[in-house]
Amino acid sequence: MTRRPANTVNVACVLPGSAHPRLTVCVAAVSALLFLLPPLAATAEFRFSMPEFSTDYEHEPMFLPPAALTPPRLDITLLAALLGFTAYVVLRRRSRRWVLTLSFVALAYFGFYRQGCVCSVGSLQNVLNAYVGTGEILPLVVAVFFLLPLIAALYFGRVFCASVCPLGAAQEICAVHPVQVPKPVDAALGMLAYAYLGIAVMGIVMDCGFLICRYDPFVGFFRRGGSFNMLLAGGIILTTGIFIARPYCRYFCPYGVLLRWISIFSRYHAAITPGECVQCRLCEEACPYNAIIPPEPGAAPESRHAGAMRLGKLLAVSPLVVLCAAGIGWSAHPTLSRMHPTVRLAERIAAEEAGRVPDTTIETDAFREGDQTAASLYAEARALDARFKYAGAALGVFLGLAVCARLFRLSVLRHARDYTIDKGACLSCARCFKYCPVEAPEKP
Amino acid sequence: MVPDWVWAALAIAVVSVALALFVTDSPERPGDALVYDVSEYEAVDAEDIRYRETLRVALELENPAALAVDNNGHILIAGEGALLVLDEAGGELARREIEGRPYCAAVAPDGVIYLGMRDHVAACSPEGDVLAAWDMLNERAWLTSIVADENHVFVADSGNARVYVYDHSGTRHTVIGERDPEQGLHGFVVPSHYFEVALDTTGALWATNPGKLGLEKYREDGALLGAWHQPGFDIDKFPGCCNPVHIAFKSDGALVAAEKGINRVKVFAADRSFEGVVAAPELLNAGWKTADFPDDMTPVRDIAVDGNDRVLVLHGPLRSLLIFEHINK
Amino acid sequence: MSEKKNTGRRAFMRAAAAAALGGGVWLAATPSSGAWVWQIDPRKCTQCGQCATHCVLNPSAVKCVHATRICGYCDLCSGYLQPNAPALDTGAENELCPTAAIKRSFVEDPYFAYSIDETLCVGCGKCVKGCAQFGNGSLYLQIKRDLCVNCNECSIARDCPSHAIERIPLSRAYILKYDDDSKGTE
Repeated sequence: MTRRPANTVNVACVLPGSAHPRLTVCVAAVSALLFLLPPLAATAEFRFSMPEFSTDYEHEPMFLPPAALTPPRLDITLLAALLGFTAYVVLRRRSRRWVLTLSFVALAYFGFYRQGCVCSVGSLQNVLNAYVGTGEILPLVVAVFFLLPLIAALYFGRVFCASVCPLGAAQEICAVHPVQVPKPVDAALGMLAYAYLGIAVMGIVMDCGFLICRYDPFVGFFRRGGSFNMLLAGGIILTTGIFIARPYCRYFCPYGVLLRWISIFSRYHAAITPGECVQCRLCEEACPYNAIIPPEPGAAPESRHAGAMRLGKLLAVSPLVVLCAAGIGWSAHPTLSRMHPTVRLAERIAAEEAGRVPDTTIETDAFREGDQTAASLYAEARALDARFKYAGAALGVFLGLAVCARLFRLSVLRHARDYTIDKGACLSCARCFKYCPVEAPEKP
Repeated sequence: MVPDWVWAALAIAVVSVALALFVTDSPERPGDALVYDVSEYEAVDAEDIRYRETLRVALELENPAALAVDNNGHILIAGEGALLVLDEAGGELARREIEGRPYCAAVAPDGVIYLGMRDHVAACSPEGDVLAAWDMLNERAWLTSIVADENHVFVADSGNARVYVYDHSGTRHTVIGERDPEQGLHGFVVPSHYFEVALDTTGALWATNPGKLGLEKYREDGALLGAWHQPGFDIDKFPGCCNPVHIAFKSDGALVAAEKGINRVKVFAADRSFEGVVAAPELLNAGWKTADFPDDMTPVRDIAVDGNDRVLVLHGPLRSLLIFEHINK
Repeated sequence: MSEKKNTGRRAFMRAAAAAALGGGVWLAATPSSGAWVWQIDPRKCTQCGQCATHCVLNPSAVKCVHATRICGYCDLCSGYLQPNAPALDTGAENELCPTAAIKRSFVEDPYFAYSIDETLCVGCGKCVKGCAQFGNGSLYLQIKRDLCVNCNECSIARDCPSHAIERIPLSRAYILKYDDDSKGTE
């Protein structure tokens, strides 16, 4: 940049610095545009002149390092390659060892090198944000990170979970001695993920920020820093993960819920055995995720009537469940609305004005320095609170429906002869392959 | 063999603990070591406040910047495009349109009004007609203060950190503040556009040296007669890196000084002992927000003392003239 | 025969679902937009100190930057010295910076130059507030692009009380307080 005479700079408004030689033209265009815009601070005067140094001292110009990011193409290419390779490894090679190897690669690159951002789990929020129309831009990389694992799931099952997701990979590697959590408990805890998804979506729609990123327990490890609580939560999840394999994926992950739904309809999902099942029951012990449905050869086929009755009862009860849940969500609005920073700020300001709390906080101090009046803040908070009634009700409906769907699924009796895979719950971890005697020995 | 319920309990436990940790997670707040706080120095003892605001006059003026009192006791306030003349009670006597934006103003004993524009002085008749526009100064110039006695007009130029001594015809005789490090002459250290001159009751010229946090006394020929530098954050000192920002003298020789950073107006007796506070930060900071006035480092645009020894404070953000009187105990 | 037909229909449904999903997201996306990066708007920043504590990195990717063009080169720099320092000299006990990241060098009487040692700076903004309140405001906080990992949601922005952190296009790189003749962003 050419140096201008010191006192010709008479605009104190914010101007872009030259970022990169190649981008200088672009920057110039942006600056030109800025000048065309209605002047924000153009009336401000440049009020400082440097001292007249009698020596030939030259001031040290500000040095700002270049703005550069890892090229997004690299991320996308690696994501696609890892997804494809995992699908091949799970479906064709049927190799647990390869799945683990790929997990290490994903953990190293997406986890430790890229420091956990951007990840598909969080991208869900960016996509929603773009739909809600908050003005946030959805870049192509993020859109691709959201889409590719879902499309892969539509054809190959949850290969993304198997060894591409850095969060999953970290837990998979820790799960050295997995046990089976009793099915009812597992199913009940699994509903938490639906709640998390619902709340995260509500968080975006109501402009409360990115809750999934906020409460990501592993990102702190990738970045070697973070809040104490989140690091502790991550540590606990990983340690218990030695036995309860992948607690985050099963009981929390909101993106996992989407993958679960889609994976049910997957085209080429992995099968336990490549050939004829010999009913050896060995695989029953193998799956830590309760994703293997055992055959029930002994059970006598239920009468049509009994089945119809049960279905009828469920159908009768489900609107009630949904309605109840909606009611609970509606009445939970005072709690839910506290997710929004404006509501929290308004509550705090009100408490301070009323003298209920002795001191001020950083937020209330900043608020008082700003332009907004307390009255308009309260009005804003009240309007938000009212909106949270509807948001809470919608959340309740969603959770009610999820519970009913789960009940329907559990009530449908299966009469499979063989051990089959629950495509929704299966994470394609490839453990069961090792237990199947029909399996061809793994190639070295 | 471990029974199943143990694993069920473990799964429930890990989920509950994680949820509890999520919910109770609140980011670490910066400790006192990381936060800049001068509130203890902003507090003023009630007994230190020796003045009372007796009058507040709202001004119909864009960018009010300069305050002066003429021989009749009338108050002159100059702002962008206009010059207001008020009587002692704040009543408007006259409003004169002027061109440009003055930053400082003075009235000579003969009634001529001198307005300091950014880079030149304009001399006006008491009726507001421009008599003469003096020579333009260089590009760096930014006139921030002006005073006049029978023979001279003293002009402070913050951009060049110089005080110019003119005669009434606009001829420049002396430049005060030339630097000569070999002779130990620092000149003025003026980091921002706050640089003031004032005449005390004996007619001597005082100029602020903001970078030195004090005042210096000069002869018309530029000779330094004395200096009074008071760096420090205590109430009887000048805080920060550039204070005081405005000065004026009372008839008994007491010094009235306005500061920025900690926005207040104080009085020092003729012997320069601390006498008291005219306007505490609480009073000056009320009713406006810094965010709306990004260019103002202090709400006080100028101060003056009138013939009755009242302290006049020109409050920029409130666009008001605040008049303070001494509390007689 | 009917099984074959069924398979064909399923394949079609699957492809349609994939296309709908992709198309839907594509419509919401702005494929032409490049990357966006987090920056502090120095005009809004109130130096609450949370940049030091809230960044996912430790130490923070927020650093103090110095627009030396508008610095007063003061001897008694309020960004460098404690308010009412025990003695008005440059002893360590008088330094304002909690990590002694501001370096002072003599230029000529009575001027001193100040620079930031970025490896020590934690981005608390203590000096920035001192400089803004009493001085010219030449010190200010900014997110260094070589350090920031550009999180999906900046955790400082999430809690910034003055909403001073925003995203700008990568091509703009930095929000500068003044049109400083900043050098070398090679």
